[in-house]
Amino acid sequence: MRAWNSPEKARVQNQINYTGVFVPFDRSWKEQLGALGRKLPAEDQEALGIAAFTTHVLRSFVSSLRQILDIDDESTGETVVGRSISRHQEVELTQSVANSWYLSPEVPTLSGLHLALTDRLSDIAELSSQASLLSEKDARNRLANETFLHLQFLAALSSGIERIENVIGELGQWALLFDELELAPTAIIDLIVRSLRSADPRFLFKLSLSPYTPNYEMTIESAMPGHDYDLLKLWYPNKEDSYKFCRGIVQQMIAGRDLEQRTVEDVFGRSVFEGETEVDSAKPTAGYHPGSAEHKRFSALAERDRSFNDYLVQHNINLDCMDQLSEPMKARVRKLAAVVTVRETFLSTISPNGEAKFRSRKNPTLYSGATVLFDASEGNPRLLIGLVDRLLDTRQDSGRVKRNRQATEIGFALARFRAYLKTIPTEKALVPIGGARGLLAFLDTIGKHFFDQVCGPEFNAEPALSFVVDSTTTDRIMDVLAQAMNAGAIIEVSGLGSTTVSGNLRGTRFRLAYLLATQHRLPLILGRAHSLREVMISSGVQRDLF
Amino acid sequence: MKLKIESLDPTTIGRVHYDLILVCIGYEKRARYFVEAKTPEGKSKFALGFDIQKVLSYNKNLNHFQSAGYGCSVVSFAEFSEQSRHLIREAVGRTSSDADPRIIVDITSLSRARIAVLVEALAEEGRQRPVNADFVYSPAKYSAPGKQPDLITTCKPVSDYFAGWSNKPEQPLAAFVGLGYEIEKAIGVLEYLEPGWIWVFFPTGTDKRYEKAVESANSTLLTELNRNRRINYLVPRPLDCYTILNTLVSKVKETARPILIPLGPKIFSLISMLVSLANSPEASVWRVSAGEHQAAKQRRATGELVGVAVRFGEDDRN
Repeated sequence: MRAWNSPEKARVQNQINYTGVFVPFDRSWKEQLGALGRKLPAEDQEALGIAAFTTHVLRSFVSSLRQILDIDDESTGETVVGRSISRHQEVELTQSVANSWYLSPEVPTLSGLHLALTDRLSDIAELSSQASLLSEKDARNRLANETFLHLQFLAALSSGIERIENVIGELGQWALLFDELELAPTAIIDLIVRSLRSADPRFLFKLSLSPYTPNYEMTIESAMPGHDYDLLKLWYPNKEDSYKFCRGIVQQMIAGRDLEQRTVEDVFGRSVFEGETEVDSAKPTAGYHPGSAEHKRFSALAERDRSFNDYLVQHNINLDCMDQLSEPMKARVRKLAAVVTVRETFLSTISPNGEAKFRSRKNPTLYSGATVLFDASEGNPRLLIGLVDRLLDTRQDSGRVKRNRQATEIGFALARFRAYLKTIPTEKALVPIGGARGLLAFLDTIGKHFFDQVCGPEFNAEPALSFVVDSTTTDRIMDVLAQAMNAGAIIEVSGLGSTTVSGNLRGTRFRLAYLLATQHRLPLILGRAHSLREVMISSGVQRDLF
Repeated sequence: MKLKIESLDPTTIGRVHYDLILVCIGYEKRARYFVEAKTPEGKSKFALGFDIQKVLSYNKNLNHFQSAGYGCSVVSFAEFSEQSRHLIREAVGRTSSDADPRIIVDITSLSRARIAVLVEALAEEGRQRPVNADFVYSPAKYSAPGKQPDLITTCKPVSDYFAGWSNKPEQPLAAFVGLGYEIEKAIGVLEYLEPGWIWVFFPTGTDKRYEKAVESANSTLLTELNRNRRINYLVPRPLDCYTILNTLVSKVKETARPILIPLGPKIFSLISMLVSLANSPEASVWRVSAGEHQAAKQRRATGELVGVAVRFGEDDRN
């Protein structure tokens, strides 16, 4: 909160009536927990892992406690949250909490307590190493005799908070913020989920998890959706739902570069996928007026593509009078615009034998403009900030960022994303598709199918740009879909429901992430849906997988 | 872990009678180059081979080692772990108390996982008494990178021993990546791990075509990386590389969690493991591999040998 500079800060601060305790996980920590006690029986290994996790939570709690008891913000002179305590109180509460947690800090201060917990994490690793050298029975006894190994994180926190409050009075609620929990060992996830039903009103829980965990379900015995927890999806099936959030971030970044008077569109321009607006339609060259950019695109395509020309004739659309169409017809034309734009950009000709030929467009500025940046980020603030930050460094004196620069940066982001998808380990040999294997080959097959829908020999006004998972899809393909979903490569559009963290993906509708869609030269719209079976089998994948 | 590391002069190898010589039966022709060129002498000589991908020069290599008097075994990874630890323990145990055991390992065709097993075994023996281990590596003549990247099946610590441990898991990760010429492999791993800080180690001192290929394969990463974070290292001078890497890691571990990701030449993998030992337990070493899905490719020796001489169980302060 101290680091956040936003006009919203005061309003948001007033709404927060708890203290956050951030408990991070990452892949490195996951592997280290997994390697801990690997030579010991599974039960002992689990005990060590849980002890390490408990210590990690208690350390995070003490960090937060130190922050709220340190009341003066030296940079602004502003009091953020706070409780002033005396040195004597600090000693008293530290000793009391240390007793409860079986710690002996060298110095009876909160920083001493924090350091003692840091040392405990080292002790756990040493204990694991020593136990590995003992017989199974001796190792079990050794671990059983270490009392701190048997602390439960929530009970320890409750006890600690009670002792602190005995000294300095009530501290209010605590929000335990577990990040990237899908990386934690299953035993730890189980422990946390069981804690959701805790009756202690001092605790709130925020669990950040991958959208799909096929081997794990929150069962009735552990927690009930809608009662014990609410599910918040951090992805946007409809891209427009992310725009307010994205716009706010980017506007703030622009203001931070001394461009306060500029809007997001002033700096990055509008995306061609947005089509006309009421404001634009007032200009003579805007919208679908003859001479406008849209009109030129429609006309250019009609000239090259007989099937598109036939479509226009069939639907009584006169390109020179598009701005005078009835409202229903205008709506139809607006729906076509994204498809026409992409087709016109990439389609060269249709040969007499019906083969589509394509233009070589290395860095099309098609993928540029404010809302394209929002779409490519899928509302992910880290990705959006990374993209925009680099682009703002290249802005011209006018404050604008050139379109080809934007397209290049999206290309870099795409390369990074594809490299990441290639790195996700594939433990089983995946379905070979056209001789290639792996998650990326699977996604590229879907992308190619959608491209054929948009730029095939015959104009398609409503191409399929999403897919539905068939009920007959095998578990092998389900594993791939789960990987893709958790990696953010496919985005759930509908069907997963709002009350479960894990569930059956069959019947769910997905689209490709828009960043991946740029690789396959697709319009950044939702489109119709094809069944996944239809997508794959038309691409040569064996039928027995569906 | 106490370590003392010096440069290995390959010309001295012929003058040493080793307690144990360990080489690898692989499919690359260069797998036998060291033994052919140096004919090292030792009390025990063993060649441990892979039980998969017995293609290309595999059988010729096996025959060569057998003719040269090596005890040859074709072993799975689990068997390799057991057998190599046993061989090392036996060699150390046989050495009288007034002399330090001396072992030589050719890492040229070993997998990174197998190198990790050997380094761990030597380190553990070094806790009881100092052990001298010479590591040799035969760089390969240039061959163009494959057009299709291999399917990655493993992206995790090279072994449990090298997983490392942090008592400050909230600290950011600091990644030290050795670059290779597999297209976009380094940037993929970095996206997977999301480190807060990145240093890349760029291999030089060999065929210029390698450098060009590495540059090209990592163009996105190198374009975006701060120039200060790119360190060119000389493949023929692994001790220099160790010094730079160790200095950086030992400094960085005060405020971040070091994670070493050695892609590219295998000598960098060895160096990374040694740096990890010197900075244990904080520094972990990861492996990104296609395993048995890796396309078998013929690699021939340049005719050079590079190496380091490591004394496990003693450091420069003794």
